[in-house]
Amino acid sequence: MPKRSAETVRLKTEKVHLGYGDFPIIEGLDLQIPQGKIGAIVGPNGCGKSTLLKALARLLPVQSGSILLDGQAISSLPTRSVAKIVGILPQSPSTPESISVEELVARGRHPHHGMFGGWDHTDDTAVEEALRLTGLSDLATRAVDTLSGGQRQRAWIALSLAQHTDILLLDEPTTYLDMTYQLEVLDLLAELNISRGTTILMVLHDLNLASRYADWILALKDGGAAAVGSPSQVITEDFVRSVFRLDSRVTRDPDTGTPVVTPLAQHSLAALRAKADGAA
Amino acid sequence: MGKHSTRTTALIISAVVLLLSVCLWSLVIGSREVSLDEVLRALTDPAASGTAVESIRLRIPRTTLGLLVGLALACAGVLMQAVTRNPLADPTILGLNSGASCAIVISMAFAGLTRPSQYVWVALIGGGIGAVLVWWIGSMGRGGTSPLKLTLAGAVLGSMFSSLTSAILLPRIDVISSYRFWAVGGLSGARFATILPLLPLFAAGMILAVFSLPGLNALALGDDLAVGLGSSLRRTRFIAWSAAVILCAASTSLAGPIGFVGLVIPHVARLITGPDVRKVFAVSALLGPLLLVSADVIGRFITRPSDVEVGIVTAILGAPVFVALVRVGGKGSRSSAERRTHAHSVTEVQP
Repeated sequence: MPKRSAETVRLKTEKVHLGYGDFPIIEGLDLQIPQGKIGAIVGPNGCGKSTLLKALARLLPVQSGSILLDGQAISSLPTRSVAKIVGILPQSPSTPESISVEELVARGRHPHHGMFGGWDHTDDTAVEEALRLTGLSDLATRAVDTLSGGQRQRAWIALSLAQHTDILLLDEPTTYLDMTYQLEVLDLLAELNISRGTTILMVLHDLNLASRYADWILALKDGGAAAVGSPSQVITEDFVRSVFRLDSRVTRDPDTGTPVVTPLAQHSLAALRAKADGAA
Repeated sequence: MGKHSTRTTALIISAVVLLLSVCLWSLVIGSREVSLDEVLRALTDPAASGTAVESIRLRIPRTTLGLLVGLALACAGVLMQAVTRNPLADPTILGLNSGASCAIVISMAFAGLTRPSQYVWVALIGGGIGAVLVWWIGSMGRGGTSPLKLTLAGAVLGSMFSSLTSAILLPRIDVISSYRFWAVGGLSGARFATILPLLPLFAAGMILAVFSLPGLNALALGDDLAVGLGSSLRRTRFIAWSAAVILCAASTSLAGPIGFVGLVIPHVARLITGPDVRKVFAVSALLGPLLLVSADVIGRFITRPSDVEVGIVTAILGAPVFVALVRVGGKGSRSSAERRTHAHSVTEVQP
């Protein structure tokens, strides 16, 4: 098993400002992404989680400041070289009609080919490995649009695995999946981190899942970092109140010891009924 | 996988055989009957003469033009559909056909052009202007070119040029009668003297097209993922778009605006090959010429000794074939409704 790299940083932001037109979204963020760890970006809707992720993958130009990959501005590096180091799985990629799982995964090899660089043994191995790791080997010839939601998400992750990057960014990889599939996808990413030492940074909505699966959490609010640290450091009752404007109780999961956020009882059908009865 | 590739190979071999036979047929059929023997003599012996040989020699440029136009339009169709990610895109949204038509009408009405050899250059210039305008408008505003902006710009400019064309045509009966022959689209005026100067255009268009194919495969996964995979959106779109413009400009200048081929051949090819743009392109490059030359031959055959122009026959012949293919089904036959139910919708709104 490859040993986990020491606490180094390949990808970081320096006083980065992001936004669309005149509308600022992230203002002056300094962030270092520790190598070989799993990170989660959390925060209320519209706080710029996806924007930051896109910028880290050079999909969005910075307005000022810089995003550095191995010490060089990511926008100045050849896009194909970046694609061999940093992979991104966007929130809603489009599925070409009737593409098979195998063909979809094979497209992850794009950055490893020249203009007419032929398909070779390395590519076959990478695709087979990606299919095996995601448990899709038996579905290789199935059309992606006939798969279930969880299988489809695994196919997209397999594409990213075939790209074979050291850093993998994922925008809400668990959205639209039921609880079992959510855990399945996160297990897969954790296994990838353990076996390959891949650095993972993902946008997650669910604080409890982020606490279970992330080494570190970045919380965004009002254009900057509201908190950065381990889940137990970041996820507190004060934090949930100030970042999400929600009164909650934060307890420890009896099995994992990670924080569990439970909204207070006033946010429940029983409490609201009792209140209505009291008023009447 | 293996089963599909055997089937694909068999289909490709039959398409090649069909294409060769249709080309041969195209040399035999016409207002004047000739025998296969005479065709062989005309092709192999440069010193051969006689009226039969003469009419065959007239049919050679016509067949050549059919091959070129079918190739160019089908390949341009593949590029357009890939760049706009719109299965209904075809070369008409390049702004090229309408620009060329407009230029032809202007030149007929105001400059008194009457010779088809002059039309070639007028159409080339008009089509070029239309295409550049569509690209320019389609890349205005924030974020540069997008599939939607290009499609809209093409549709808007197309209507504008058509209105202009109609406005000029309506009061001019004299122009209408000569324009309508150009507007139908056909191969009957084909001569090597007009085809040869445009050969470099066909070649340049095909080379550019081939260069854009790997990038188009990445583009099919969405803009974000394409960039994530190391593909340049602007470069891929520009190269593919330019290739389509060059191919269509060359073919429209020589044969007038021929529809249907660019829209339908890529779909037929996709039914055979699945979604890989490189394969779709290769098979379209075979099927486009096959459809166009067949349509031309059938147009000459059904109303002998006169012709029905190929622009009319392609759709009449092609539509039923297309419907039959879709019904038989292939790799791409799953309903789009089924896919829509799985399509992710974006819920997080960025301010």
